[in-house]
Amino acid sequence: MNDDFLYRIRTEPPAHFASALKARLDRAPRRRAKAVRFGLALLLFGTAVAIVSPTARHSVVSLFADASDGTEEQRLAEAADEPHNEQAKADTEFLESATPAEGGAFPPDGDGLLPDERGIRINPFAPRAGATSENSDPPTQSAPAIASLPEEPAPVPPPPSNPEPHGVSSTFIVTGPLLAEEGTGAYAFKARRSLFTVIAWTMESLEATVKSLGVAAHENRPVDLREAERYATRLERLVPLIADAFAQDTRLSEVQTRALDDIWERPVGFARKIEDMEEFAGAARRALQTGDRSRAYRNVGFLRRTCTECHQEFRKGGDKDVGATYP
Amino acid sequence: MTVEEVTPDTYAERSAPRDLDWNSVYRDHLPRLYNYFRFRTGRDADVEDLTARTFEKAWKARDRYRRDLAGFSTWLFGIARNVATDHLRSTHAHLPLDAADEIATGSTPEDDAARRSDLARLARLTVNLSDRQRELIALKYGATLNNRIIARITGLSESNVGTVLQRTVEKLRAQW
Repeated sequence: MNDDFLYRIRTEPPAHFASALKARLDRAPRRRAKAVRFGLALLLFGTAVAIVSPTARHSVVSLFADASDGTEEQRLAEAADEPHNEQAKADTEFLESATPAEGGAFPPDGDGLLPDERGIRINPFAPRAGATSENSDPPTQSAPAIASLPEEPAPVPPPPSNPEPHGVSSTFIVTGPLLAEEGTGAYAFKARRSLFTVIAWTMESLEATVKSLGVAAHENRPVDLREAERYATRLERLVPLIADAFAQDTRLSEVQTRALDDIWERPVGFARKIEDMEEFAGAARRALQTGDRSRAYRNVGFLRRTCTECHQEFRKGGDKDVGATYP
Repeated sequence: MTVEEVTPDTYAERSAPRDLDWNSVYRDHLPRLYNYFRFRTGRDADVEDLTARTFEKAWKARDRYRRDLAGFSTWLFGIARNVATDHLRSTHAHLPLDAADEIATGSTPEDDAARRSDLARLARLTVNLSDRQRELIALKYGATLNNRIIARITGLSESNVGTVLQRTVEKLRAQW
């Protein structure tokens, strides 16, 4: 069979491409074990809670101040079993009241408030039990759920004279419910919400940065692609965690979310969407590394389109009320 | 025949996964993957991206490669086929607005250059082929895989692969 004309079409890949790709592959880590990835998700969620909660921040400071009291294991075990002072008890009640409920945000609603199943809107920044009378009225204006800090934060009661149980147990009140709830629908929902909030922030930052690059180039101003590359790299690392966040089937749990049944009934399709997002984020990163702005812009567009498709296929309400909760 | 065919007795096929020299694997398969995507997409644009994407997926998953399940080429080009399918599907369905002008006019500087090349000629000739025929051409002449490996990758019988390829090549040669 005379097929030489087809073999003649072959060509060698460019040398610079071959060497650059090999260098990237040599730096790339192997796919993490699921336990490690979900551990990262837990760390991400815990960090997000610690950042936005005044109690958590105070508790972390107290923890380090009280490091010499007892063994860590003993204190954590005691704190997990039973909060044994009023402050810790109040913290527990506050966090338990913030459990998302029917119609809960996935990610949070556009106004940043969390509806509960009794029709009462829960504002995470509302003062907790034990706050002084000056700050007993919750804010009347809606506030973003996570990203912003209130202008006059509710005063945190000073630590009691015996700091040992307060410092550590308050810290564990923040993390304790995470661990105590592990395996429940509420836990899974909180993890997903945190993850999607961070993804939404990063995505919006990437889009804004890539667009600004186009404007700068049009105005003949020098452009720095590194910031956009960082956002693309972060997205490429964050997106695979979505699979871990939905590993638990929460349809029969007490938490009603916007996750559609297809997530668990069509796992291949859902996994394919996650893979697509990871690939487009990776393509955008590679394009930014090589200075190819048009390819980066194109792949960011593909990424956004895939996000929209995933919402339309796997989320009640589709693409409505999706986005980061900026102040 | 001017180009050697890949036989199963390449280094990767003979070795267990943990013994594989991934540097040799990369050197051996990069040109094959690169040309597979050139033949499959019919253009040079995005080929580097698709090649990189395939290698990155394979590199991340290399611990999961099981020698007893499939030869290495079969495994690697199984990944490549999925990447190609997703790319061809997404480029048809999801084009950003700034690509709309290119589609409307059908002409960019890159397209003008490509039109003069053999690759572009092949792309024009394969437009009327079935997806299976285009896939087999890409695996045979882009990736330089033999019929046995192509049969494993595509799920066809080896004789079926040979028959389809012969008819397709004869048709293309007549129009070349």
